[in-house]
Amino acid sequence: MNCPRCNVKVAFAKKRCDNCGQDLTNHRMVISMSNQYYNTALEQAKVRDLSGAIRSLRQSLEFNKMNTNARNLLGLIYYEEGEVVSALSEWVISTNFQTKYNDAEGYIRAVQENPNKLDMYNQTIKKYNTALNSAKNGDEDMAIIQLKKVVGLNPKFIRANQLLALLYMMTGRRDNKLRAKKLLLNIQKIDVTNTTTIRYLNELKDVHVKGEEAPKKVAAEPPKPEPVKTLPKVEQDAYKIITPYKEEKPSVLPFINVIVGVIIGMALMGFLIMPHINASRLQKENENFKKYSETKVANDSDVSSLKAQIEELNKEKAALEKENKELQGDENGATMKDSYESLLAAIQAFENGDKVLAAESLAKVNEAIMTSETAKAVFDKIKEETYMEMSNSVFEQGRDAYNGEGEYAGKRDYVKAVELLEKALSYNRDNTDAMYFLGRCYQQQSQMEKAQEYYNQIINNYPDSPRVTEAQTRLRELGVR
Amino acid sequence: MDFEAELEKFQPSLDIERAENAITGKSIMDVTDLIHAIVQNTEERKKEEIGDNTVEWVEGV
Repeated sequence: MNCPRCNVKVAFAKKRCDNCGQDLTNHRMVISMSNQYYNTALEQAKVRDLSGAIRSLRQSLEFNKMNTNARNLLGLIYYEEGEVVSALSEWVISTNFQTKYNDAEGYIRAVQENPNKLDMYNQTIKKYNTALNSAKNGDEDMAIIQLKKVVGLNPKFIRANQLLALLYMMTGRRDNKLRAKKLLLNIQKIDVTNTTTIRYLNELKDVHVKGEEAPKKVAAEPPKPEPVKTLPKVEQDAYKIITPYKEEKPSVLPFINVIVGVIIGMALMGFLIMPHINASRLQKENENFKKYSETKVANDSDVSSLKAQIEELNKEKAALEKENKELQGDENGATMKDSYESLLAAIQAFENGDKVLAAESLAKVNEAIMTSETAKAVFDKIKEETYMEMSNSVFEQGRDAYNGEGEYAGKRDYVKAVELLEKALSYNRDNTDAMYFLGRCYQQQSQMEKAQEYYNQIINNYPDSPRVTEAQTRLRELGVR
Repeated sequence: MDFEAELEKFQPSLDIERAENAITGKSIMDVTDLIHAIVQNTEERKKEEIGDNTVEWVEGV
């Protein structure tokens, strides 16, 4: 204890200052009162009666402002209630009064070691002040938004929790009242005798939080502590364990857990499920390809067999067409049947000695469709025997038509003569007589070119023919030679 | 409950920018200061009383 007059250190038991003789009775009483209030506050803080402890500590400091133990404890309680800057202020003042062996230095150092956290606490205080200003100006919604952030960052900030609870209660909504009650119950665990909290909770009696215990009767007021007769010695570390600093973890952990869960889920899907799905898809595609290949092979085989069938059918068709053609006959209309009938008629006429009739019948035969060699031989023999004679016979008829003799006596018919002579020539292509008279017919009909053609044919192709001289004479008549 | 009145009871919290003013600008007084002031005042009054008596004594001479 220092003497209030000369500031010299004096033993606490002394009633008068040894240096200046000042009566220390009153001063000693004041110091004792300060210590008593400090002791009371310490007991209150131990049972988390922080509001009561603050009141006691303030009274203690009113008696003795240099009671650094009381000031340090007050700072710790402020810190516990989220009022970090107020706590720092008390500790700074404390170090100012007691520069050596002061616990406040350690507290200040501990706070300043983590500037980010200090800045975060300062930001929450600023936001609280802004929210309070908004609420007082009627912008409760904005205030609620700000205070939600503040409470999220600093859940022990008693005043912020109380203000948010009050704003929730002001909305009158039941869900908000429930939120308010939860907030108040949480801060009641920090400061159990805060009168504001208790009043608000009393207003929310009708709201029940899940798992809440039945309302209890107000406990009887604890008996006042017996006044300490002597000045007890306060243990140096007694109040340190009351309000240990605990960092509230930010509420981002659930969000991180969700993200990690999603990542693990995606990884599982990528490593376990996707390969299985891909394998199934590939197997299905392989089966489809196999089926397609089998179908294609079968189709190719069918196409080959169909092509072979088409080829066979074409061959059959060609054979049938040939047979049909043979049966239908040539351009003259002579079918195989007709040809054989004509051949039989020719044979019969030939046997009867009628060579002309035999030749006429033979002319109707289609030599090309005769398949029998015997029939061909018979055909050739009769042809050889009859065609020459037939040609001469028809030539004589033509010549009669030209000269107007015989059957055509008195009437020359050059047209008929041409017809008969050409028929004679068809039976025998070497009949130069027929050629000569054809020339004559055309000459008489003034068709000089055709006449000249037949005359030249005799002269050029049959130089030994008796008709050559006559043909030359006729050409001279035509002015050719 | 009168919510508006409750709202008015809330006071701003001390932040770092205003902490210095709060610390240095605060005139911390306690009962010890009062006693000290009373003691000083009493001594001054005694001195004054002694001084007055001296003057009166001189005048008397």
